Amino acid sequence: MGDENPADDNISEVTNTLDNLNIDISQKESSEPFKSEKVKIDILLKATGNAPIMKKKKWAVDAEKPIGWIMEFVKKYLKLEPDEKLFLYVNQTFAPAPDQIVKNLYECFGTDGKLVLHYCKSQAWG
Amino acid sequence: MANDREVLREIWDGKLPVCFQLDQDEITEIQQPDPFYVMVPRLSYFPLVTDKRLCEAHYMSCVKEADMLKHRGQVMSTMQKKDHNQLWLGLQNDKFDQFWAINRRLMESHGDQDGFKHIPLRIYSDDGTFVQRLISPKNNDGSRKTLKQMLLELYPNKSEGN
Repeated sequence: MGDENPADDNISEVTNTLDNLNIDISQKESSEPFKSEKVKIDILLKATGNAPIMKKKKWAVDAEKPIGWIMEFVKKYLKLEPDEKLFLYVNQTFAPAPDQIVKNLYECFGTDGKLVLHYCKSQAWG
Repeated sequence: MANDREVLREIWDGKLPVCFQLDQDEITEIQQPDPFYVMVPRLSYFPLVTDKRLCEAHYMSCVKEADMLKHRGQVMSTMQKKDHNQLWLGLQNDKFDQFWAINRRLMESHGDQDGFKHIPLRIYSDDGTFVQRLISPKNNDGSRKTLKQMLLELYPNKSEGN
């Protein structure tokens, strides 16, 4: 039990890194992952199911905008009634949470320099 | 990941102490009712305090998103609806074996792929925002990535000790 445990060093290293990270995150400016961040991100909005098609499909949106904002934007553009629902999907698979930001989705699921989002008026992919 | 049953069980059995107090506006008697204390399962208390259907939809979406990153979505898409239900019900009803019988498949390699393609990961800040990036579980030389290497990849201008 008294023997030195080589794993301890690793643990303290990780703890240090985490501590540094904490300081880092509080100083927003310098802590953003990856330097060459796009300020605007191209999104492509594709209709599915019974949803009306948007005339303009490609939009450049602020990278920090939440998905909820895009949902409201599409609803307004399509002139939906306030009680009509709109669902947004990534990769025709999952519905991102309204507070998820465009940048996170683009970094993980973007293809060919843009993020493709499918929208519909009823639940399409669970 | 899915093999260390002892650790999985330990995490699953983790509880949060919660104190419920009746809203002041709801009190109709002179005597203040006692607060209600309860230990709730830390992994599955959400459906207790929020809309169940919303909770389920959000949960399934998160699992699908994670599977997109881990296995290009192939595990979730090859599962049947009853498997998805079992996953959710296992979690909601605190049934460890029921849950892990399905979740095991989401935590293993799939097909020819060795391990996960990417690691589903979010790093939260104090203000509630989070950062999500594509993180490979391996370094360029094929070695397994440590937590520290991953953090330095995400925050490259943060070198050790400053």
